[in-house]
Amino acid sequence: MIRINNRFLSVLGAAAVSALLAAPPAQAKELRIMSWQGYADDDWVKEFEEKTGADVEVVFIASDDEIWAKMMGSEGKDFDIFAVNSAQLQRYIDAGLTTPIDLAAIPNQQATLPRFSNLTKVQGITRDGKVHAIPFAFDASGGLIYDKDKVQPTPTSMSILWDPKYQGKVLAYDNGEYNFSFTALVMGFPDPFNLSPEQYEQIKAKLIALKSNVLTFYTNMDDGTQIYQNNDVALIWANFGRLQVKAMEAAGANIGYIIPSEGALAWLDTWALTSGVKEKELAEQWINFLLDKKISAQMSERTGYGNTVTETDVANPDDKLIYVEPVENPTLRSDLWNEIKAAP
Amino acid sequence: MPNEQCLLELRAVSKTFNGVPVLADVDLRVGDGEVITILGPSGSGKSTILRIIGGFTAPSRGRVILGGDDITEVPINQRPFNTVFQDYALFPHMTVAENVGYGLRVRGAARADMAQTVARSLRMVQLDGYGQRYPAQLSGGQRQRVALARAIICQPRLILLDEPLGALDVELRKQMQGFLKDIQREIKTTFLMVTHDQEEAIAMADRICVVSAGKVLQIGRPRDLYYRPGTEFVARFFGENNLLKGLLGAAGNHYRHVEAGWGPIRCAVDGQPEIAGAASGLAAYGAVRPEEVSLHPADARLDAELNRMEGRIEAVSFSGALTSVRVVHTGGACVLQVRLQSRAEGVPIQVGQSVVASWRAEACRVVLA
Amino acid sequence: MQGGSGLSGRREGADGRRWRALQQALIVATVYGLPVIFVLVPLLTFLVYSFFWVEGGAMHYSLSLQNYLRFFAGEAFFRVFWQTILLCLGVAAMATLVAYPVAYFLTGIKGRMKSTLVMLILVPLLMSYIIKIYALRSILGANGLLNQLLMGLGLIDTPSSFFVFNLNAVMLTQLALLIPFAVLPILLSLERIPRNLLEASTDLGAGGGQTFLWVILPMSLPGVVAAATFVFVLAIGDFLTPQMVGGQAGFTFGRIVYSQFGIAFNWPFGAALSVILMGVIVIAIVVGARYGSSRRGTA
Repeated sequence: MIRINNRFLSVLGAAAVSALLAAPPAQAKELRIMSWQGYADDDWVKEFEEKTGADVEVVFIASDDEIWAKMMGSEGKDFDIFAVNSAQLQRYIDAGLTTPIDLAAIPNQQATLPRFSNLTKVQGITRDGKVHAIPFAFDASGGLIYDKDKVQPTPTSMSILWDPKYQGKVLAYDNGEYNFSFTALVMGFPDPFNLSPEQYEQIKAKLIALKSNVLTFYTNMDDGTQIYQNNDVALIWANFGRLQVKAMEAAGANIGYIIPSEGALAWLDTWALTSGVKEKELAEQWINFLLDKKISAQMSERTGYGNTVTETDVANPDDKLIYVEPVENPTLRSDLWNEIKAAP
Repeated sequence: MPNEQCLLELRAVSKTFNGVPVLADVDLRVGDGEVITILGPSGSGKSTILRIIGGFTAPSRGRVILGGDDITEVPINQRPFNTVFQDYALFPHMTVAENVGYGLRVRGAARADMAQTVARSLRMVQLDGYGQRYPAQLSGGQRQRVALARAIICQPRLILLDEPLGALDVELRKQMQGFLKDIQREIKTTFLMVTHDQEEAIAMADRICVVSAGKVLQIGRPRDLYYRPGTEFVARFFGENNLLKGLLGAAGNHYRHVEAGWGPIRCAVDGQPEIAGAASGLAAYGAVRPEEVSLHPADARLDAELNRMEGRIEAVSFSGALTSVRVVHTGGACVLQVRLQSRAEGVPIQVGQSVVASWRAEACRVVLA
Repeated sequence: MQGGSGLSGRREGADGRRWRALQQALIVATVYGLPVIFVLVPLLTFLVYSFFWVEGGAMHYSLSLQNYLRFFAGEAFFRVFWQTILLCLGVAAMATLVAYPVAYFLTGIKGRMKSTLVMLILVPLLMSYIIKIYALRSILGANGLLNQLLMGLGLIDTPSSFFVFNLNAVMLTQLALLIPFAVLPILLSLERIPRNLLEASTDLGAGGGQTFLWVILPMSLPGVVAAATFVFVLAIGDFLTPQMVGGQAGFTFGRIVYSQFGIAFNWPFGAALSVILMGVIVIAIVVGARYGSSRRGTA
């Protein structure tokens, strides 16, 4: 999914450090964590160790595929707890690589923001009434970036992308899977990740109609920023959320970011216990520790992502966030996207 | 160029490449209709002479005169000359007919006329029916003839041939020499040919211009150069020659002597006023061709007019029509090469035999050292 | 022990021979093996893959023609395919037209100046392809150098979007990227023309124009055809340029192929499209070789 590139480098360093730390035999209890960079910072780990008297070993990973490979390789036995995207979580549950979480052991979960406090209402993290993961960080990545000088007043709806006024000034993201989900939101379809053939046809027509407004399709953040700098771009259909906004602002863009009334595609990172968890209690303590107001706020501060405990500018309480889920047929969406691009 | 009218003249032509002198004050007169050969070893500057005449290279000094007009500055394509290049320089992407007709095409000749003229030229060089082939499909000799046909088709005043037979094997070269001469006799165009092969020069040329180290050493008919070499270089350049070293003796009207250590050598000097008048005491050679020397038994009685040298046969070697004999002077002071007609029963001499070698003063010339 | 040592000596001789034979076999295996492993096997793998198929995100390893049928039946892909071929032919023709005078100019220069200029042409080839496209895209953009220049000259009033995110942009960018590839073969073919052929032409009375038209041009045609083939093949295999500067209108076949691997994970269909592309490339090379090599050889 959506990840920062420089994670990979830190992973190398962290792997070296953890190799050194792993040497002395632990008399104390040991918590084995697999995490994205930014979700298990050194000062937190130290604080947690002091508080619990446990040793913590953190392995940072750089991609969704890497987590899957490590979990499959050890059948979940190498780690107690791992950070995972909610869209990815389904296949871990399917593969029996997770252990349901005892909410009573995580009192801080009660104090989370309204959109996270009732976990049954968070898509994809419960199965058969049992909670398999606790939300920790999120971002509304699929919002709308607009040029403050060229677009006034502040837009509220994604439908502005189709406004003939902005012909040739719209920058769209080059990915069929997301674009279908996104357009489904615009068109008000209830489940953007499971579309019917009729809905496909309608979305396809809608996307072809969008083409006349589109200047080009960008493929990554830098690409988008560079196109914006060198061309007359008014609206960008975002895919990298806050990171993208920050990168563009750093490049001198005078832009704003909205979560449109139709809702924005978003991602949600969670903590899940592995099927091979040895220190279940300690792992649940770790989650509870991170859901502390101070720690969660620090995480937002440091990464720019939203947290589940304190309000941030990532999303207003009533903003509609739709966490991305695996789609019903990625191949079909990709093929249709090609047909849309090939359409005259 | 005794009888013909002068066609082309080089006047004091010099050429330096990057400060290095290649030609120095070359004077040359080419007669209309003659075959003149520029002969010299490689690096002598002979090709540069041809390139200056053709216009490919501009002389550093001097003039090129054609029929009285100065053409030194006239560009290549406006000179009424055509060239047969060393490796023929046929256009590989054109057929033989297109190659031959190129000069006509350039001049905008009508297609039908062109075809006729090309066919006639090809017939002349005996390449009837080869018109549609490409150069790569021809033998070396055939390519040579295409190059010739291409050069003669525009009826130039002068045809320049740069080592035209150099790439052919010996047998074919002999054949082509005759062929070239026949063509020349037929079209009567002046040929200026550059070669390093003295036999070829002798066989082909009306006159030969010997060039060495950027200078013209001697110009004359092949016979004159062969029997009356003006310089040691020329004397040695045409085949084998006996150069018998000594000092120039007293002046005489028709004959002068070269005083060798072992005896005087009597040489004719008629037609060579510069030799006849040279100061006595100069280092000089008596030059005599091996085939001019006769051998006699040691006790033979010989005409007093003849030059003679007593010696011993040191080596005899049979080489077909001729047999070479090496005679060493009795005192060891001189070696003489002698060439005799071979005979089926063998020449009546043996190694170690004492003999007297003799030659006529008329066949012996003075060459200043 | 003399007999013993003699015996062992003989045995060593036999071993040595066997060792040499083994070495020989190893060399042969390397010489033929490496191209087979690194060229032929991947190509064959592709060919085989193109007959597999994907349904519901799962690979099916049974042979089927459906990938090919889908391409030839599907109007959209076929149209893009044609459009791409035409585009690349255009790029090849224009690159050759621009490269010829450049190469011709270079043949007239001598010594250090020439090697410097040739190096200048070659240096961009060493640069990262993506960086070059990025650079070109910023030059061609609405706020880019080209538009600023044209506005500065007063040729246009407002920035033109003619140069970026359309087929023009693909063509211009590919031209800029590929012209060096066209200059080299033409330069080589021009330099291979023996000087004395030019002298012969002039000697026979031809002027500069005639010599160029009748000798230089026809003799450099193999280089021209090689250049055009080269550029065509490189252009048609290039998906990055259209991706980055083609915009919504500049959709090319390479982008479709790319998306089958990078995005759709439909490798068999991607493989089939690649095989079709490969076919076009082979045809281009065969045609190029046929018209490029002079069947008469060189005299």
